[in-house]
Amino acid sequence: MENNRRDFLKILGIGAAAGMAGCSKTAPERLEPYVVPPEEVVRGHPAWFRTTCRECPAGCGMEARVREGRVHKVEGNPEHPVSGGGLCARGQAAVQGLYSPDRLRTPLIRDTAGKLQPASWEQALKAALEGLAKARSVRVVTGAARGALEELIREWPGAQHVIYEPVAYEAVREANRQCFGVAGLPVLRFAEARLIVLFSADVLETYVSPVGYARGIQEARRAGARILYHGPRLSLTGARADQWIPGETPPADLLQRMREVPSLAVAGDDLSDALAVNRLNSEAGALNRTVRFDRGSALDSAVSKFEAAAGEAVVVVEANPLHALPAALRNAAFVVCLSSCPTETTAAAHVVLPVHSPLESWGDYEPWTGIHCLQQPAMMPVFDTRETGDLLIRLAGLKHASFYEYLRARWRKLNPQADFEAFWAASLKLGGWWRDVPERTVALSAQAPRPPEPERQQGYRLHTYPSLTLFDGRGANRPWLQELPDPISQAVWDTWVEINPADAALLRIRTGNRVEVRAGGAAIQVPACVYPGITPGHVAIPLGQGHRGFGRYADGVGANPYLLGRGPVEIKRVSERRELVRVGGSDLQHHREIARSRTVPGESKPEPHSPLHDLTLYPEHPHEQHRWGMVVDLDACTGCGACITACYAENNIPAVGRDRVAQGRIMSWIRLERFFGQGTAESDPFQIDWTLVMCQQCENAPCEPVCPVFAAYHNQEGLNGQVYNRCVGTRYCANNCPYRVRRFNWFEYQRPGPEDWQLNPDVTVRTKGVMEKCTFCIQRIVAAKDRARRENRPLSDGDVVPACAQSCPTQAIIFGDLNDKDSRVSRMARNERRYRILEELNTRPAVTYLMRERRKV
Amino acid sequence: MSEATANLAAPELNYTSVDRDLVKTMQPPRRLYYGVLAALLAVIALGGYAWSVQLRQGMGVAGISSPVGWGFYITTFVFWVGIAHSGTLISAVLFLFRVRWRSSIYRSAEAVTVFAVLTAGLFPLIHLGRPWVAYWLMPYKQMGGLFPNFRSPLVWDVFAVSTYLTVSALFFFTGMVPDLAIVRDRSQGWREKVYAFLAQGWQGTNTQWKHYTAAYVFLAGLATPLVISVHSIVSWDFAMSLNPGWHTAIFPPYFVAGAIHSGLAMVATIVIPMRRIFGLDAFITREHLASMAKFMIMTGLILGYSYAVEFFIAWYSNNAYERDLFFYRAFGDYAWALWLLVACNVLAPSLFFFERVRYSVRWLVTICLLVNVGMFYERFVIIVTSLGRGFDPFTWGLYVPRWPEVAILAGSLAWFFLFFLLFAKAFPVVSMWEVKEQLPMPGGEAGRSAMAGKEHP
Amino acid sequence: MSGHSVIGFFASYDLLLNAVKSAQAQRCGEIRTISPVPLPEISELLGEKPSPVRRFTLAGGLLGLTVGWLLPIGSVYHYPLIVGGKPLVSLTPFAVVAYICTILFGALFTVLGMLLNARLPRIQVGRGYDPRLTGNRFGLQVICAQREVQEIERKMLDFGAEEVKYVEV
Repeated sequence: MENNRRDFLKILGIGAAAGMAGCSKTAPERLEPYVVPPEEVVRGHPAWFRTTCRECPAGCGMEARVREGRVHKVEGNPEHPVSGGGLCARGQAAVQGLYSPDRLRTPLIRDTAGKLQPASWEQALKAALEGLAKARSVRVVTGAARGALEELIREWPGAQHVIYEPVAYEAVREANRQCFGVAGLPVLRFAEARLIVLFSADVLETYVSPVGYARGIQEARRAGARILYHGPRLSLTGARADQWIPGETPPADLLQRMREVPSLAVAGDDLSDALAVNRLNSEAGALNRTVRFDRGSALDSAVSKFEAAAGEAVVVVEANPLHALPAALRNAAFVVCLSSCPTETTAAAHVVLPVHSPLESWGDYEPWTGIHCLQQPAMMPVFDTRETGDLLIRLAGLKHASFYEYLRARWRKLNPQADFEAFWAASLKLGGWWRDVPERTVALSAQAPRPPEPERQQGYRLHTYPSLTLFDGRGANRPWLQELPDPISQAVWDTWVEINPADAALLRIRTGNRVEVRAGGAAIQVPACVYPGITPGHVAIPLGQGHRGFGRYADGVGANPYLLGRGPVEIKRVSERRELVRVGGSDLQHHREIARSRTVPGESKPEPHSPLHDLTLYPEHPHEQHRWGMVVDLDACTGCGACITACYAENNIPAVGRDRVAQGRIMSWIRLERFFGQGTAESDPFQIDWTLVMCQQCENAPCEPVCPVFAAYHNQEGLNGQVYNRCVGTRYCANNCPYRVRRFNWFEYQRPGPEDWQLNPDVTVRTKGVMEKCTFCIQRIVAAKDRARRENRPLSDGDVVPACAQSCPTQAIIFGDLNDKDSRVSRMARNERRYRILEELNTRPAVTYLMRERRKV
Repeated sequence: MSEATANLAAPELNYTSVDRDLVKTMQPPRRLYYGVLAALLAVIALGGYAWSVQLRQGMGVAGISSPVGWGFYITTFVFWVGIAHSGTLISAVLFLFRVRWRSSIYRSAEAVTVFAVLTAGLFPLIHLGRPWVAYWLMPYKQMGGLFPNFRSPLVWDVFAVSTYLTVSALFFFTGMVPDLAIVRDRSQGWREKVYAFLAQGWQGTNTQWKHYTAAYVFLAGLATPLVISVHSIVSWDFAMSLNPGWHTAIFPPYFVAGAIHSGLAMVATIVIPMRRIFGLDAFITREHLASMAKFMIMTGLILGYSYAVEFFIAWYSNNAYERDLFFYRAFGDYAWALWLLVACNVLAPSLFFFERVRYSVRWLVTICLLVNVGMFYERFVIIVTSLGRGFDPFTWGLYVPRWPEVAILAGSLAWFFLFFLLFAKAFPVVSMWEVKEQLPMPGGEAGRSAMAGKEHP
Repeated sequence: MSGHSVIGFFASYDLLLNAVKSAQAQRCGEIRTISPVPLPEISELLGEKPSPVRRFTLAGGLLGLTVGWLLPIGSVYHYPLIVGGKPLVSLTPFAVVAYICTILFGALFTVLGMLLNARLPRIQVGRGYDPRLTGNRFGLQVICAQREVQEIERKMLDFGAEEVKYVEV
């Protein structure tokens, strides 16, 4: 099998991962560079493998960058129909699932005393088969797995397949069933809409397919679209919208406004919202135009609750139901868990079989009907794990040779006319195969119910929402995601409850105070976050924390709001200590114009550029070849944090942990600065503005002349260089940076193996005592220049893409050569919305920002 | 009675008694001395341990972080450099101005200078992230052609502080040579050999005195601009940056005045107990102390004026960043430190207006200790509030010192006092030959001293 | 230099002053005083020229000024790096370095000048040196030929010395 693959990859010329020589399944103990490498491996040059991201059910296309047999970074697949090149923060953190130090390394069998003990593969498989044979029935639990895996499980004689997703949008699907007769999620064509109405649907964060939706919404935005967000909680998506209509009653004239332009309404996972939205879409003409049911979603058969029957054997495959449903497997007679990392479910299993992580696996996934995304291993397995499909074949007693063969056979059936090997190779190269599907129209049923009135309840109405960083909880063992600050609360490494200021004043709660949230018998204790963006009478808690047995980064962090259910809750302050770790000093801008926005139409045009700004006593320094610059379009930025996590991955930035973030020592080179309003008090209506701040690569950099040893200097291409091996660590440069973008290495940050395998070999790993900061991904600039030189051509616009710009789903960050007047960055830097942060200090930054717009709806 | 002797109250002082009383201070010490020595060594060891932890684990064990990247260490550095200045002021500047009351204090003051600079010199090493490459700040060709960055105020610091150390040490030692000869002449055995070596064969011939006094004058003349420039250069560590509250032209005179203020306070803090323990009331009289106190009134008022001007200019400038920062200083998280330092630096020394306070040793010690505390907090407030309240409100943050910083601060105090303790027993703490210069000459006309005949060289 | 000298010990400054005047008037030979404090009046009497130490100071200062400018300027030409947009030869910050170097070199040369001129350090104090001379006695040393020694000794006692000593120089 390995030889076949190697040969045909040779044909494609993509290159094979080193280490393919030798067909053993055990990971080599040491990786050493070749003295004479295989022909297709060029040392120092990466190979790219296209696969599919499995960090959530969206199924975005992903490319894995592999150097000498190790995956270092993943990026979006620009040819993918869902995501189009962007990749969210959770996708970027997929490598941390691959290299998690807590990964299961051996099979485990529960002994008579009830503890899991390491065992050999033969023993574990034997025990699993015995347990399955003895059970009355078999239930296989997976996440959304539409594709070869789902079909394989269907072949398992007598097994019932449960597609379990904690976030399954059952209310939306039920509403669709009642209204349109289709119990599924629609395809949303945001790009064609000019008015987008969101009923608590966080389409830019976690809702169904956020990267794809962000891309579509940005396209709509460029064409003048307006976004309205209605709901009791102002989420990040709502903050990005032009207007927030708080509360639970939609505006009366909404339908009329939706009729004026092509529009689209989307509902979050709430039945009454979904019924209202279906009605609106139907009456506004959005149905079958911007809201289509041609393609079914992989989530259409998902459930968020299930319970094992008595005497049943349950096979859990890369899912963790016990986090959200602690009692789901209570009655099960026998549990086999196939997982790459330890979870609450593996802790309760009788047999645990470690499997490949998605970056090591074969597979496919069909997020929408006709969009067949292919998954291929980007590297040899790190540990002694097995392919999930192979294990299922064995456990089910099926006759297929291997899951790989099964997958290929399935694809042969998918596209029977094609020359299969060519088709297979082309699909691997593209990342999948997408085909058109027949159109399907629906209409609002006459029996469609009206949305029920919201019931009055005692207590606070609780909204739990999948977290932007951790999703439904599966991201909690990835330190990058734990350390990615939630844009709304700016909190890290914790769970919190958002409370309106008026409610908080009544309860005498301040941000950070520990609070008990009680729903009947269940209660959790979390710190409070006083947030004007939640309607009085409502509280909100993000999902995803409160794990036990999910690894060193997840255990003991935060609390689990799944336990509280959906009913009303009581809130009570428990302690006055301030416990919430937040990044960020002040929530207010004090009129310093850091994150600017303007209302359109209405506000005055931005000030003309004053020639006084160009006055300088100093000589002009010529940039003969290139002058690198960046434009950040704040109207495109959704605040998702993909850029931040991509930067962590690309530049070997350590995640420092909760306590050190509390001390102000977070190491991110690019950060999201989120403010409430523009002035010294929260504005009315409540508005959130944000900006992305990274090293501005100032021409008159204040950090450079104060470094005593020239560790900070300005290079010929306009970059502010930081020479790590010259830095003595006086920290004067950081003190003199008005943007405070410089980060100091306060400790020698350790990375438990195999996390260090992820480190990018093109970027130095900094020692303690050394200053670091954003470099505009100078390693990529150098690589692009090398490539251009090898190919005997000049650098062209778009050759250099820093990691942050590459990952952004909406392309809010544009990078390029300012010396080239026609480059995209130069053109955008002349946009009328442009401004620079702290321009009056005359630092002459190379980063230009485009003001965010709020369009009157 | 001439002005010279007006400052030396004791009529029984003569050349013989000067020698006798001051050489007596160098006798083998009592048990209390050893006890204090042991305690100081213990505190230094604690500071050393704290530093070793920091070297092993990283700067992160201290409380500094982003945005406040400088905290106790730089505060302490500036504190010690400041203290160093009054020594030179008393020895050099007052010498050039022919101020008589300097002569008995100046040796101790100069010792304070040298030891304070030695203490201050530790901190550039301690606060560096990679102190093992600290030598890269030295001006020599390194790494294939690179020199340090002479535009950086930190490199100016290297030059200024090392020059200050060199010149002060030279001045200190040179000034001591005739005294070392006196001690040599009154010692036996190995001690005599040591002092003979240190005295370099000094005899006191007229040629030696001629060259010596010339050199002394020039050294004083060179040290005077140093007093002004060194702390100005240290103040430029802040003034050359763009932070609100730092970027101001008032810093050089402000810092120099503050340095003299704190230095005088430290000299008084040391000299008063020393005077008591060694029984040097005749040499360092209440007049001397009162003169120092009067000087402190002046420096205290200059400081008060400087604080007022800073606040005024911040308001008058209408610059939003400056105004916000100064409002924060007065009413924000560290307001307690600001009001404390105003009380200690300006209000407390103003009590010296009252004669009773000036002449009371207890008041002197109390007020001088308060001034020391106040001067420490002055630098603390400047550094921490400006860094913690910068241009971008998202970056605002606090600073809380942690145990290594407190331990190292205590260690530095112990280090300084240790030097002084050793100095007090090894060298004469009052300049014998200069005191003699002021006294009526033996067998001469009543009241005529060697100084009376002094003219400009 | 070899020679013979007589040192007279005086307990009073006035006596010393008169002795010096008398010794000068009587052309007794080379006259030196040894005292615990500097004696500017006597210095003037002896017609001492101003000390050349000041020339050392000046030379040192000028050297320091030169080095203080050349070092930074040379360094930026040797390895040109742009920092903060500032010009390569940034005169203002370099002036600070020059200022400090002026003082440093001036001080070092001053001390050097003093040591050289005063012929210090000496391994041993001159023979015949008496510890009282750093205490409370003034010494008048006359260097003369051997035959004059006796006479000088007698004159010293006339001048008012309480003790005389013969010392080979």
